[in-house]
Amino acid sequence: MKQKLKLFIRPNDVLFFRDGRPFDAGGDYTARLAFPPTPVTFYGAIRAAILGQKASNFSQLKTKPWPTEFNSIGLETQKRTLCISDFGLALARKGAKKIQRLYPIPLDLAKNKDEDDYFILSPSPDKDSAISMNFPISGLRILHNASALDAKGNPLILETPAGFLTESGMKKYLNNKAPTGSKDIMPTHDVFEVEPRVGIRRDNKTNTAETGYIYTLEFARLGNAWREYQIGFVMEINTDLLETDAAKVKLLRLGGEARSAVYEADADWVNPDKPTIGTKFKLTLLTPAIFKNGWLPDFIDPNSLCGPMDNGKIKVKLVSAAVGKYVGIGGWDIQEGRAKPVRRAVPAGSVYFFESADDTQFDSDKLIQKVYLKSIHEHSNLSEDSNLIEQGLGLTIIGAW
Amino acid sequence: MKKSNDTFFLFSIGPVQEFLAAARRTRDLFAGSYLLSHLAGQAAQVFLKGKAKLIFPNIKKGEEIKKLDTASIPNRIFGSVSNGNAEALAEQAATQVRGGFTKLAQTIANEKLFGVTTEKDPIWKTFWLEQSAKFLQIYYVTCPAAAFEDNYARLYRELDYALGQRKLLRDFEELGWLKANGQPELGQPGLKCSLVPNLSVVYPQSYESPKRYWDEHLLKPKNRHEFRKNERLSAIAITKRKCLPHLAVRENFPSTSTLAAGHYYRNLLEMWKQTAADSDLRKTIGEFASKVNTLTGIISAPQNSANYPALQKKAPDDFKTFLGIDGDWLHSESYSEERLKNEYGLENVPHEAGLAKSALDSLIQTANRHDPGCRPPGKYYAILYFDGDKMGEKLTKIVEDKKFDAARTLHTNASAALREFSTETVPRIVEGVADDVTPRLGKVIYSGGDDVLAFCALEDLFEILRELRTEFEKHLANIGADVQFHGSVGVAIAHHQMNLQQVLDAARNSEHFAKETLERDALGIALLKRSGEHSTTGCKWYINDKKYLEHEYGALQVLKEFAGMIDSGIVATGFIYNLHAEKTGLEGILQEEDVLQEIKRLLLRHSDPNKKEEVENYFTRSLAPFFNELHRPNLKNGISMSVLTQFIDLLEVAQFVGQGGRQ
Repeated sequence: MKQKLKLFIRPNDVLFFRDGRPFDAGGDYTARLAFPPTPVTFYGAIRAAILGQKASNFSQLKTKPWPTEFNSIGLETQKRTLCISDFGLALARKGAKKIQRLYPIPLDLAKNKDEDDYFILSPSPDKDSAISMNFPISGLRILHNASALDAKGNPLILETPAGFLTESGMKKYLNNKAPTGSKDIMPTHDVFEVEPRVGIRRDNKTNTAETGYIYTLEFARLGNAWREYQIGFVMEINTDLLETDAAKVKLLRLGGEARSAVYEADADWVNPDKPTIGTKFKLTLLTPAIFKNGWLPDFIDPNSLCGPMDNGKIKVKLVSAAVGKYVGIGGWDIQEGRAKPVRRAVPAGSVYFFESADDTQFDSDKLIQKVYLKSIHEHSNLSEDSNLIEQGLGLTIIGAW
Repeated sequence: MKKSNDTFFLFSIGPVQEFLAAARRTRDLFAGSYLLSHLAGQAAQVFLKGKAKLIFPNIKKGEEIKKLDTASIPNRIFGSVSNGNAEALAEQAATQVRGGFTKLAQTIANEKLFGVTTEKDPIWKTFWLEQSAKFLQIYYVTCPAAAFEDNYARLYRELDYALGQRKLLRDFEELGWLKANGQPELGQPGLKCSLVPNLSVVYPQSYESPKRYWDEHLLKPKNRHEFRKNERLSAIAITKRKCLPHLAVRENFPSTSTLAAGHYYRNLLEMWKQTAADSDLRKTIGEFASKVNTLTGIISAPQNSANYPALQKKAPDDFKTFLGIDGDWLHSESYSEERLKNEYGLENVPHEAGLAKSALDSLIQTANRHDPGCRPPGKYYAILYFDGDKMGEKLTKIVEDKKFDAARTLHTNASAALREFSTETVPRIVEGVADDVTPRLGKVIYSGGDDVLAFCALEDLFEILRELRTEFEKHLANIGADVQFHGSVGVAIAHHQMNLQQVLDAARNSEHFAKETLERDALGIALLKRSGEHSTTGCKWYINDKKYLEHEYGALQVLKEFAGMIDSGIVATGFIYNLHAEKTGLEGILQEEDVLQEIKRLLLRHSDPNKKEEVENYFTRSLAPFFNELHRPNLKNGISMSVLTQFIDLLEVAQFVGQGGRQ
C-alpha cells in the first residue's frame, strides 16, 4: 500500500499556465493565462518531480517499458497507480494556523446582480411551467429560488458570483444555505492577479533585441503572506517515490516558463462535512470531468434520464443541471512528441441534481461513501488507458437539495 | 378583459464574445461580427415568415434581407406570434442558423485554395463538419401571454429570467475525429488553432501532420494575404476569415496600422486639396504611392488596402492610390531587411524596398515643409465598446404598470429608437461620411441595439465618445417613457502591432471598470503602451451633476482641452512627469486645497510663458472642479485607487492622446 501524501504547494514566484492556443514569439505575440490549471498539470508535475529525484539515467526513459521502479507513474499505455485523490480545485490558502481549501463557485449559487445577496438555486417543483425552453433533453427542470424576488414579487436578475468559495462558504452551501460576504467568498483578486510581462528575443551575437520578437506572457501572481494568507495548492497523492525528507528543499517544476514551486509534505486540512441524503442529492464537480456525451454524465441514459451508479447498486434520475462553458483538456505527449487530442470537459463548479429513480430513500452512508470526494468517472465504463480518475478529474462533492 | 392569443419568444445566438475575440486582424473582427449579425438576420427572417412580430430588434415584415444583412442585428430576438406555435418557429430558426453556418463552412472547406474537398477526404470533412456543427450555442424560451394574464411587463421579465436560467446549462457535444484507418475517435488531435482555443487545426488525410500541410501548402508567400506567418487555423477561424465574399460583402477593413496613421492621411488630404496639381507635395505623394505599389507587387503584399470610410469618400480620385497604401508602409522600420524577410518569406530583399523607403523619407520631409506642425504617422489607435446601462432593467421598468398594448407600443418605440441610433446615428458619429461634416477617423465594426464596437484614431477619440453618449440619451428620451437612459464605454488605446485579442480584452475590461467600479454612466480607458506598461483609469462622464455633455468642465471637455494644450505645446509633458514624482508626498497632504495649489504651481511652471493666463483660466474653470469632483465617491468601496492617482492617470491618457501616441 502506497502512502498517502498531503501536499501544500506554494509558488516561488509567478506561475504560467497557458490556454490552448499555440504561442511562439514572432508568431503570436501574447500567451494567455488559463487559471486555475487542471489537475492534469499537477499530475504531470508530480511525475516529473519523481523522475527528477529518482531517475539516475534519463535516457532510459526514452525506451519502453520504463524501469519497473517507475511502474506506478508509467507510460500512458500502462495502467498507472499514481493517483490524485481528495484534490478539490487544488487552490488553498494557508494562514498562521491552518490550511483551508478554496473551491470553485458552484453554478447553482447565484447573486443578485446589483446587491450582495446570494441564493442557492434548485430544480423548480413546477414540472408544468408555462415557459418552455430548448433544454437539450426534455424532462429537465429549470433552476430557481422562490425567494429571489424583488419587493414587487418579480424575479431578480441573477448572475454567477466571481471568486472562490472558502471552507465556511462551502459548509453553508452544502447545508443549502447561501454564503454571505467575504468570509464565505474570497474575491478573485485576493487569490491571484494576472501579471502581463513583456519579453524580447535577444540576438546573442550583438546582444541586442531582435526585431519582430517582442511578446507578452500573462503570469498568475498568487496572493502571498504579505496578506493574511499564502495562496497555494493542496493535493493528496498516493506515492512513496516522492521526496518527503523535511531537511531537503522539495521543488516542483510547475506550469510553463520553467517556473518553480516548493511543496510541503506534511500539510493537513479538514474536509467538508458529510450531509445526510434522503431521496435527492446534487453532485458538484470540484475538478473538470470528461464524458463521452459531452455535458451528460456517462451513466445517464439520455432518453429516460435515469442511470446506475456504483455498478447498478444506486439508481438515480437526473432532474436538472447547471453546467458551465466547456474547457479543453489536452496536453503534450512527450514520448510521442505530439499534442494529445483535446477533449471538451465539463468545468469545475458544474452541478448535477439527482433524485431516486424509484422514489425510495437512498442509503445515505453508502451513497456518500461512493461519491463524497470521489471521481464521477468511477461510475462510468472507462477504457484501461484513460487514467481520468488517477489524474484527479471528475472529483465531486455531494450536497442535499 | 380579453385574453391575448400571442405567444412570446426570446431567442439568442452565441458564443458572442469568444467568437469576436478570436481575431488577429481587424478584418477577422469585422467578419466575425458581421457573420453573427447575418445569422441573427437569418433567424429573424424565419420568425417573420412564420408571421411573428419582432419587437427587439425593430424589423418589420417585408424589409429586404439585404437591409438586414448589415452588422447591426443583435444576437437576441424578442417577439410574438399570434395563434401560432412559437416553440416550433424558434426551433425552425435554430435549425436555419445552425444549418446556414455549417453550409457556409462546408462551402469554404471546398475552396480551391485548400487543394482538397470534403467529398474526397473523410478526415478533412470530419474536421470541418464536427467543428462547425458543434460550435454555435442557441437558446430560446417561449411563453403564452395568457400565462401571465396579459401582464406584459411580467411576461417580459419572466422570459428574460428564464433565458438566463436556460443558459445555466451550457450543453455541448464532444467533437469526433476519424483516424487514418477510418476508426472514429473522441476529441480532435494535432496542432491547436492560433485563434480559437481548444480547437484543432484542420488538415487532410494526404498529409500526415497538420504542420506539414500548413507549412507546405497554405503558408506559402503567395497566400500571405490569407494567412500570416506561423498561423494555423481551425474550421471556425477559417470560416470567419473567409466568410465575407460568401455573404456578398465586398467591404474591406483598414488594418490597425492604417487606423493608427489616420490623422496623417487626413492631414495630407487637406494639404493635397490646398496645393496645385504640379506642386512638389502632390508629386512626392504620387511617387511614394507608386514606389510602394511596385514593392508590394514584387513581394506579393496586399495592395489597395482599405482606409477610413470618410477619407475614402471625400478624397479626390487621384489621392486614392495613396489612401490604398497600408499604414504599415508609413513607418520606416517596415522596410528593414529583417522585417521584409520575416513577414514575406523573402530570401533576398529587392532594391525596390530601398527606393520605397527613400520615397517615404522624402514624403515626410516634404509634408513637414508644407506644414511644420504635421506630425509623423501615428502608431497608436483606439478601440471602444459602448453599451447602454442596465438596459434590461430599464426596458422592463418603462412597461411596468402599463396595459398590454401600451406596453408593447413603448417597447416598439424603444426598439425603433435603438435601431435608428445604431444604424444611422452611430455611423454618422463614428465615421463622419456625410458631406456636411468633417471626415471622422473612425470605423464601426458592430452597431446594434445599445451596443457599439468601433475603432478610431486618437485625434477623434474624445469627440466620438462625447457624441455617442449624448446621442444615445437623446434617442431614448423621446419614446414616451419617464426613464433616463445612459451608457458606459470602455476604451483601449494600443500600439498598432499589439495582439488584437489582447486589445479587445483590455477594452472589454475597461468597460467592466466603467460599469462595475465606476458604477455606470462612465468611461473607462486602458492605455497599453508598447513598452509593456499597461494602466486602466476612468471617471464618470460628467462633473457637477448633469450639465456635463456640452459643458466646459464635463470630463471629456477637460481631457480634450488638456490634450489640445499638450499638442500645441502650451503645456509641457514635464507637468505630468513632475506630478507623478511628487505624488507620494502630495498624498500625505491632508488638505485638498494645498494639493490643488501644488498642481496649479506645477502646471504654470510647465506652461508657455506667453500663455500663462490661458492656462490659469483652464485650471480655475476646468481642472480644479474636475479634481474636486473626483473626491465625490466615484469608485466602488474596496477599490484601492487614490483620487490623485485617478486624476494623474486621466491626464496622462489625455497627454498621450494629445501627443498622438508619441512619447
